[in-house]
Amino acid sequence: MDKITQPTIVKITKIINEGLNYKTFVFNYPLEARAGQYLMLWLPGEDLKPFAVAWKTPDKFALAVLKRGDFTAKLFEAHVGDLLGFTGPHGTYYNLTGRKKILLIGGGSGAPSVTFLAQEAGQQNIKVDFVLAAAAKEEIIFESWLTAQGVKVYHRFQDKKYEHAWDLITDLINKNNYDGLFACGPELLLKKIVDLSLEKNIFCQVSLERYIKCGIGVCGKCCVDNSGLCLCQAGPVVNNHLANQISEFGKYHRDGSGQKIYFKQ
Amino acid sequence: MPANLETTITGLKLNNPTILASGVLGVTKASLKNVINNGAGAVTTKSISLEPRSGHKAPIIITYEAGMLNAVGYSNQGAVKAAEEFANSAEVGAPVIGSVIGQSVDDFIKVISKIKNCGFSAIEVPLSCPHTPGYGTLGGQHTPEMAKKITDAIKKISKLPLWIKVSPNENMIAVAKAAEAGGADAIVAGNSMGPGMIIDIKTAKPILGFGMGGVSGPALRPIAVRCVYDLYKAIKIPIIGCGGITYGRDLIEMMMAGATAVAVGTAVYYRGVSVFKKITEEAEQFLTENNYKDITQIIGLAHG
Repeated sequence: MDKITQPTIVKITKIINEGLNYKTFVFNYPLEARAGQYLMLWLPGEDLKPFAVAWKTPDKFALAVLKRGDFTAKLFEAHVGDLLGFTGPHGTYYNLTGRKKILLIGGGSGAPSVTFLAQEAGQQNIKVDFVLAAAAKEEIIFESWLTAQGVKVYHRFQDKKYEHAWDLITDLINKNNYDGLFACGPELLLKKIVDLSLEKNIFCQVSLERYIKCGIGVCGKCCVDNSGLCLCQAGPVVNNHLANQISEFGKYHRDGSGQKIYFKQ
Repeated sequence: MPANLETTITGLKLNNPTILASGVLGVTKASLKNVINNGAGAVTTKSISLEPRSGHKAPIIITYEAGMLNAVGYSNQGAVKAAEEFANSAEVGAPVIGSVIGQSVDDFIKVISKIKNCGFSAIEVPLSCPHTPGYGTLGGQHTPEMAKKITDAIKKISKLPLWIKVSPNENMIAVAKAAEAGGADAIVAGNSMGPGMIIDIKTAKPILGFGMGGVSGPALRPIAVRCVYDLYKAIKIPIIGCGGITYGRDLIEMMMAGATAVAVGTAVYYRGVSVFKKITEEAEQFLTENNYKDITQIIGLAHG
């Protein structure tokens, strides 16, 4: 049995403050990963949680982390030189095959999943527009980094006419002939994007967040209704048709005990 | 003519002898159905406790050269929500076994009374978890006295077949015999062994969130086979063999040791959820090639 899942230990080489409650942790390690995939990050002796890869170079990779709970609070206390572990990359990734002009949407803790995709698309000379969905201006991250990748960045704080990110997104989709939509962020926003993509028949992939605890398809915490598929392996990136078949999509997810938590409309 | 793989255990007719072991997948009814669609003859729910539990901190599962270590810590929705989740379990297409845990005899009774209308085909009670304080081995339940007491109490309030899951570590035969005397209908042999520990040497920390965890997979298989072999001689009620079954030959081996059916868990990691179909096909091929008409012919065959 040659399949061994134990953390690989890496040293934090750089920590970047991205803004309100957001930090990027950079590691010197030649990671083989595709945009959309995630690592299970181990704080030795503490816990292990999933994070999408935010960007990578041939010899470095980065995780961008939004402070949102006990684990991330502990992670925010880490220093350059500290040792962390990871397993993975795990899960599915975005597929850019055949795309020429795409819209990426990233919001909250989901933004880093699509920043990596912007980097991949840039390397393939695909034209990229990027909507940063955020509740407050202080939560806008990676704007200059994205611009440096040749990406055109939009957010609703640039133009007062948009009250919600969704208004900006629909406006962009209506005005441009995108041949691909890729998004990671709040699930109710993802649901709207998936519905619109199906209506307009645009290729679309979204990354869904479920309670991932083992990451290897065994513990069953991330199984979705009604298929029972484990999203730690069948996801996190799913296309719009598969998302639409997940009966709980846009309705509820489950906590660590398996109890349903309904999304607030 | 392909060999017949049907087996009957405690009155439950299974299309094939593979059962999803408790603790792997099985958190939701949809997940159980997915496992059945992938070839399992029956499925066991994630263990249900009286109150909701979020389980141990992660990592909860790691693997090494010879198998897997887990310390999940019985995360589950609790009996009230589980009763909703697993309602109408009979409709998933194969028997569903409800796994029930408790810290006291009273807990078991309360949980079973809350889930009694789910349509479970049997109740499994693990007295043998090696890594959750208050439960199983760490809760002092893996003794002949507790086995008799818990079995007695459950049999008084439930008509469902009762399967008692024992530990491969120690006391196994004495606990199984006490459960049999208390009215248990079958013995599941057995749980993971140990617990074991793996330390990351760069950070000098045990990797599992709970530090230690039950050992399963290929490392456990020969021990589980010997357990079933010993139990077959010691008790009269049927045995569900569990421990490291990954390929069809492992299923055949376990049944030759004396198992009437087998539970599969860790192999989901090695071969995916379709492992049930794969094991069954491999076993069928062996039986057919070796002129066995019926899989029940091989039960206990190693005893001569």
